Amino acid sequence: MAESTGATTRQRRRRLRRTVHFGEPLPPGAHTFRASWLCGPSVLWMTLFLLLPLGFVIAMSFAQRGDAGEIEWRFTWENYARLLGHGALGFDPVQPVILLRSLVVGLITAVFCLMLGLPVAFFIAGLPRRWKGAALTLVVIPFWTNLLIRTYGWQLLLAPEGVVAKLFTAAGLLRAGEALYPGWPAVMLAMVCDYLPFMVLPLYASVEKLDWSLTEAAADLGAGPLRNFWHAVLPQIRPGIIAGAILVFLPATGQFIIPDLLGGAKVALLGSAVQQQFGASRDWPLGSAIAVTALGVMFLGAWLHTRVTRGHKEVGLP
Amino acid sequence: MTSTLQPADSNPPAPHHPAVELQHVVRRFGAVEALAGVSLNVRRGELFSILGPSGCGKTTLLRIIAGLDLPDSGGLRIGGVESLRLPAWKRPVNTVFQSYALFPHLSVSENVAFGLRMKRLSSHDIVRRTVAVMDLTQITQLAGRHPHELSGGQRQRVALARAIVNEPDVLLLDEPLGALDAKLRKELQRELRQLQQRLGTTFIHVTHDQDEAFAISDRVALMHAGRVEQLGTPEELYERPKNRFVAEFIGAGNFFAGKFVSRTGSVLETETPLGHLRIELTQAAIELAEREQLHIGIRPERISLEGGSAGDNRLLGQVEAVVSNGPESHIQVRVGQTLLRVVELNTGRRSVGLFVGDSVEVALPPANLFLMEA
Repeated sequence: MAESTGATTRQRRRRLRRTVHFGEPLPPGAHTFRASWLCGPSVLWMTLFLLLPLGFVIAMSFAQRGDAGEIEWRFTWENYARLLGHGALGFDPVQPVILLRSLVVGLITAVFCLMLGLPVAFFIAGLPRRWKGAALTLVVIPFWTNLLIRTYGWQLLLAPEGVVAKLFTAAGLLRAGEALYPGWPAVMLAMVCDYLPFMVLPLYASVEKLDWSLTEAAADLGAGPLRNFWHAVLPQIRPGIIAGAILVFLPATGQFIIPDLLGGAKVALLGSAVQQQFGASRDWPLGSAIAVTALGVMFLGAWLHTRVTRGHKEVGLP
Repeated sequence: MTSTLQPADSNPPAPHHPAVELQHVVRRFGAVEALAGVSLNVRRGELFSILGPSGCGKTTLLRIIAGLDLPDSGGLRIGGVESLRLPAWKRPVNTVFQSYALFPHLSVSENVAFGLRMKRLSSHDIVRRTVAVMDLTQITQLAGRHPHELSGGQRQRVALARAIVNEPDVLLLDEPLGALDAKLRKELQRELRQLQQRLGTTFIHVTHDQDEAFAISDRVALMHAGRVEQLGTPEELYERPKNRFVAEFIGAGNFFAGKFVSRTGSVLETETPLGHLRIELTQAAIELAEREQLHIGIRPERISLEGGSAGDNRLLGQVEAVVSNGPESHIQVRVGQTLLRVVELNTGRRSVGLFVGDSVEVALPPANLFLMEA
């Protein structure tokens, strides 16, 4: 008897439970209510302008292109088949090559940005406090200029009679009157330069929080400089590296201004391909399929990463 | 299990060298001299404590031995080998850090195995030694946990295990028990001492806690303002403090000036504010007696208010305050212009208690008085 009374009292208490939020006692349910109307606008915004269009794009990737470029809503796998190289006249490598090329370019950009960004992040983190703000401002200054303008800037810089081209010519690496663009080197140069800040900022945030006593512990336990970095520093800044790599890799694979302006026709990336299909080719279903595939690849990468980093354990230890 | 763990000195390279030799080590931070010329030898296999108030340079000294800091001048030999140019990762020493500095991304067993992995031992040896040391330090059941899932005492054990698994020639401990509560600290002090005797490893232990240093050390170096004030066994430091700082840092005391009157063998006659006092000198203190101005001290518990024995200096005093904390009474007695602190054990032998205003006979045994340099 007493037990059942206790249970009901407890239940009633739970039902009437007030919550304290930022020191303010709230009646039951008030917290949820507040949260919902405060978050409501952004949820609505994302639903209307991200989730619905995304659903539309996914649906469209299974539709067909009409003869005049209109969309025919008949289910087909054909768009994905074409991405894998299935063409009307046998194997057609155009789309798979673009996909692969984008991933490689994104990866190379991320790796270069990481290698160049790490020393910068450590350098800024090591500066006296009053210099740090200035240094970080310098890092983001390029963003104050439009990407398009910066890319035209590269064109001028690498142009036939430009300083860089003259230097290369003098070194015998380039024939007189030739330019350094269009081509891969110019694209990669601009990509790394453009995305470096996206790598440096999250890296800096991690390095700033670094617990240096762990590097002392590692040295004390016999780790030389390289292994110290690998075992004591890298695990600590891993979140920054991942954030930076994602921030560089994702937009880099979708970049179309830089490959268009500095790469010529040969260097089409995912972004260029999507733009091509939605624009000149008027093949929205294929464009959608490319976009969805790109999305899938990113998710696959993120999933693989968590799989690899989790569950890594020294063999044999209990 | 523990038999697999060899004492670190089972194969000493040169047995006659001290474990660590410091020669006039100076370290400055800006204008501050953290170490003002420290020289000391740590013997093989002893538990050596560096004791001192915070800011006396003891942690700096430890970091220099570990290779985490460099002196501005001076010399360092570890096991007879000139070591200042050796980087930290090549020195045969391991450290238990004050903050423990465990790797947060590694489990307890991976933390312990870290040093062995750095030595590139075979995975069989790594597992064998890791398991043995985790057993020795009683952390086996924590093997799979991560540092943030451990209590302070458990972290301390893991830090200790991570260091001794490497079988270093010298183990450095930087306030290893500083962050723990009093009861756990006592328990771990005993375990630390037992572990040290079992392994036979040289331990250099830094602490600001006099009780801790005295409880576990073979020898203690008392540091103050970047200098070693006195080096000796805990008994030597307590019984024959070199100067007022040592005497006051280690326990309480009564201190007063004295004038030399005469000396016959080891018996010194002096004139003090308390009156005429006879002092029985130790061999080492005889040269101190040949001075105009003498610095004399006596520990509170070495003064007797119960009559004393024949040959004691007897003085008449008046009780000014009595405070009892249970096991002992702290009594202040005024003799002339001087206030003497006296501690008596409450053994229950005294039939009538002491009260403020009572007149008492104070007995200062001549052998209990000591001379200091300053």
